[in-house]
Amino acid sequence: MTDRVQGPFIHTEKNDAYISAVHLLSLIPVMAAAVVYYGLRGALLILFCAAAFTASDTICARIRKVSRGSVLNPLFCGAVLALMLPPDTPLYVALTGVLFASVVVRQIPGGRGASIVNPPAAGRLFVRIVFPANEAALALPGGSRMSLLSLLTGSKGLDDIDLSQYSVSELVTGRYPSFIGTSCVVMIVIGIIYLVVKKGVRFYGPASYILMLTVLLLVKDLHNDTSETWMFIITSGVLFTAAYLMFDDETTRSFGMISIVSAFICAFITFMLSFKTTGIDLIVVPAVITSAMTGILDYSRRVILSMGRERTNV
Amino acid sequence: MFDRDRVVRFTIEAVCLALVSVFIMVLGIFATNGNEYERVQSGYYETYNQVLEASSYQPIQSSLISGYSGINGVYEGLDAEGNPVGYVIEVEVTDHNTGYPLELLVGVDYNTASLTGLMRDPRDSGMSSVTDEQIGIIAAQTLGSQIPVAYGVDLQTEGQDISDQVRLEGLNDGIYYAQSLSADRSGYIDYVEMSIENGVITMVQWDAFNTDMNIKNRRESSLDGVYEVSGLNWASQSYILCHALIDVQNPDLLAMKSDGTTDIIDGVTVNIRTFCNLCVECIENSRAGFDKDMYFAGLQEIVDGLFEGDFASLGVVNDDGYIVFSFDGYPGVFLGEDGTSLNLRQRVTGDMSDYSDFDSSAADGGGETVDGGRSNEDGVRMSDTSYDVDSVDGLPMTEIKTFIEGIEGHIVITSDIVSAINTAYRFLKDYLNWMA
Repeated sequence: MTDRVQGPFIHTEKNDAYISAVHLLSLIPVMAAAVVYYGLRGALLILFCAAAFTASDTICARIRKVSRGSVLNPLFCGAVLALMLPPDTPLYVALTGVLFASVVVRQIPGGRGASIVNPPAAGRLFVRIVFPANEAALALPGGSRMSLLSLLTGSKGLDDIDLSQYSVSELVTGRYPSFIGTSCVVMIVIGIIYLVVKKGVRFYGPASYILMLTVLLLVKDLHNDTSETWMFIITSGVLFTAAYLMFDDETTRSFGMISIVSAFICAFITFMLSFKTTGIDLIVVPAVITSAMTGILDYSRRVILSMGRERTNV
Repeated sequence: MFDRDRVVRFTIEAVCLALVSVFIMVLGIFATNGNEYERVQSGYYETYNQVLEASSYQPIQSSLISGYSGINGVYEGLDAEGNPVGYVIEVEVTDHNTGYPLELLVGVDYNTASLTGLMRDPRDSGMSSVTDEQIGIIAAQTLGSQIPVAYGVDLQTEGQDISDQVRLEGLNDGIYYAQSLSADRSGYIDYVEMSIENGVITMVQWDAFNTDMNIKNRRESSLDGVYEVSGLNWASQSYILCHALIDVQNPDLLAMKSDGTTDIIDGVTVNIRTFCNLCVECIENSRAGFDKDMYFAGLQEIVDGLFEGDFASLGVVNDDGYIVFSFDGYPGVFLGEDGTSLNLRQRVTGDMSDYSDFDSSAADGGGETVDGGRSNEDGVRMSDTSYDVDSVDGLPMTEIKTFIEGIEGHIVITSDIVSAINTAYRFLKDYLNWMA
């Protein structure tokens, strides 16, 4: 059996299992928020997606007779996908996203490390396209914590969510209808801090993304109301993108100049999309496009470097 | 994968992260609880204050309303001291013109059970053909009035007796009578006797005598326990039914269904078809001036004619003076020349005029006029502007507190909106044991 799981951290003690564990643990604050706000259905949705992603990866790897790699990574991917779903998402919708991410995005191109785009982001985007009505399956945080019915039937969702009615403290703590894990800024920040401290991600990657995006938004809002910039940063879910989608070390590296370039590209795409769309599109589309472009950028960089070496040799 | 130390370290980190996260979350929830409450109340106030004025609104437990058809949500309105002032009920009914749902908000006062407001639910899909203006018309007619509501005509102006307001047109005063021309399987021949004074039905009696003159009449037999029916004894049901007719003055308004029963009169479970038919015949006899004595004389004449002998010797008159004769064996006696069925009056007098028009009107002061359609199958009346018992939505007539005119020319829309009001009433009555 050939172990095809390689990573840039392979020569250090921070191997694949370590990085996967750090990523997974960094989700704990966000998952805690999801469970506190959405109760049993939030917890079950996360567990279901994580288990389904792991099972799918394992089965595919066995069929292809290759190593699945650390079990923690598919758990992380499944959990990330679940955290981007509306709280009243039925399980079959979640399963559709998981299977697309695991089988189509990850396993068909060659398994872990061979994905062209970030699997959870692509899976979530697939759900968005195939089940557009599910985007409305939002619920009030703290309501019906013991209810499980929506996992089978979905829900009608909420109408007219006006975020201007919410106080800053509610927005920062994610106490407004949103996806189960993308709204609680405080918890995401704790997750980022853990990631950075444990070297699961380099600080400058996510920081570049947020900084670049903030600058672009401030330029746009300079003559109007700059509070909209901060509102956007807090409520759009871009912090979730920065923490858990952009630098997965599978499609986009979290270190080196390439990570900063990727962050700038991602920020620009997010900025452009902010004129056109809201919701999950702002969270996953920039990550998907950037991860797809990163491969090309990396390849171009290598070609340029090798050409430079040839000239030097000549 | 990991050595033991690393596993332990990760476990500790995971536990610490979880504890810190939960602590911060709980802290956040406490810090934002006030905002949450204010915002929710603000949202409630903005919407529900239009149908019920209150300081705050509390949703009633969803377990109470789940499964109750037509109720989407119920909120209790409270005053500043926390005392209940009423309820806001989110009701969904079907717009029978389009088949789409119509969602309404109904406000009901806690103490008086009167309607405090009626409007379209802001969450209504808008697919219904019912306009806000039409809802407003019904609201204007019902605001401040007690629920439940029926539509068609105002029957309960204070100080006036119901019978003074609505009555069938063309009734002549007197005592009228009709009996079945054939006996039922038990040998009973039903009869109805009706007194009319000042054009108003003031007394109705429904009973039956048996072709076996040794058997007591049905009322007495039921009181003796010999004649049994489901529910209350037959005598009680007959009594209730007769008084219901006196109340509504029109047999059509008893909402007889196709199986001969009615849902709108509490305690009445027997088949009322014969009763209704005999009442109709009495009313037609009244219009035709064919009173009880004439009926008896006519019946006697027919029976006498059949046997071509002395009527007294036939022994068909019972102790109460009723002519006990079933025409089962004489099917041609009540057939006209063209084969149409005749009733006794038509057979005797040959008068084939149509007395079946059940128009009724206010007796005094030119009050509301209502039309009375005769289609009473399945409790549904087809006439456009009738005093429609279907509008009581399964509630007995005696429970109806307010009668309204409805929207002129839009009986179906009126019915749908009134249904919403009555659904709200039924919920409050059934589930909150309110007004019990």
